[in-house]
Amino acid sequence: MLDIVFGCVLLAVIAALVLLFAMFGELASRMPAERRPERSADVYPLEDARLGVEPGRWPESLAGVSGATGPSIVLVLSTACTTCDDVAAQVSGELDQGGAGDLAVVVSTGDEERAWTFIDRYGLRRLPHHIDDKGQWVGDEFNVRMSPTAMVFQSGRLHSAMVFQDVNALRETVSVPKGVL
Amino acid sequence: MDAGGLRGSSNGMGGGLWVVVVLDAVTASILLIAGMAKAVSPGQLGQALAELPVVRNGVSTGAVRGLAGVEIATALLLPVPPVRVVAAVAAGVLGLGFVGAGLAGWLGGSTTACGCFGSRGGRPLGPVNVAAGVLVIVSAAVTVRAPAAADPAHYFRICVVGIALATLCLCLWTHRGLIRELTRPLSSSR
Repeated sequence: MLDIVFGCVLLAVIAALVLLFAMFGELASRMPAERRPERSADVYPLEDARLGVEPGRWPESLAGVSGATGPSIVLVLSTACTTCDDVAAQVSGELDQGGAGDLAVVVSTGDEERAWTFIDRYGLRRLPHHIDDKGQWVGDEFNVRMSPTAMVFQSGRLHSAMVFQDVNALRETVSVPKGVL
Repeated sequence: MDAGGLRGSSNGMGGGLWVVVVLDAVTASILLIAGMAKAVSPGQLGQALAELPVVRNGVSTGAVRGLAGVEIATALLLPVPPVRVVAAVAAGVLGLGFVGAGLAGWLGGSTTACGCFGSRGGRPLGPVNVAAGVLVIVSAAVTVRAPAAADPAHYFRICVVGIALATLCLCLWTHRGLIRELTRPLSSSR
């Protein structure tokens, strides 16, 4: 009996050691991101956006946003903007931790293959995502021609549009905690 | 590997069964380290799998953590005599998964780092996963075919010690870069 207890304890200790190393590895992989220059927490409204508009057509992949009764956030990112890489990395980090499931992403691009590379690099397939050729859909429907932009929809209508760099600051501005939408 | 040879020694640990113990220890260490890595950072494997043409809709964090749980449970049950055959079959199925994912990444030219086995390097799914999968499958087949040990308690003791040693070695090897970084003197220190 003592042998079995000893064996179980030994297995538990070795499992804990492996877990500790795995967590150290994860922590170390996050360090470079923390050394980056601070991103701005400013969030300001996009004045030119057509607020209150209900788009004439919704991409199939964003059907969940159009039908939602509560507020929904759609992030407009571009393959040509470096801040969008940082925003996508923040969203990816939240997804890894089991959050950010409330977001949807529109990737504005002139090259569909680059858009898929961008989506795969940050694992954005885990969210509703739409590739917007040359930003035509967001441009024509909402006059949103900047990225990264967050479009907040309420009952399928564009409630507000904001330019931002920090996803947490965006959430505080929208006043919707993670996972509630 | 005949039953007589396996049961030939006084403690029920014939030469054949020592082979099973070694293979089980290596398999359990691979599964334990792979499972813990997936449990702690499931996102990296999720991204690597999403890149594969056969997984177009991606893999959820929950699914990766579920797989991690199966791997850890399989590793911990391998040394338990009453369930070792069931655990070996589960290990064989997981090994097939390693081979499948490795081949898909290898043939599909995967470029996304998978973080497999807790590695911090940028290695995508490929030949290493295939090799690990084949090793796990062979080990599982040997375990399933081997007869039960005459002294299960002794088998459990030896197997647990073997798993602990193998896991320790594999863990130190996998995280050698991290250990090197942690033991490196700081640039400001004398």
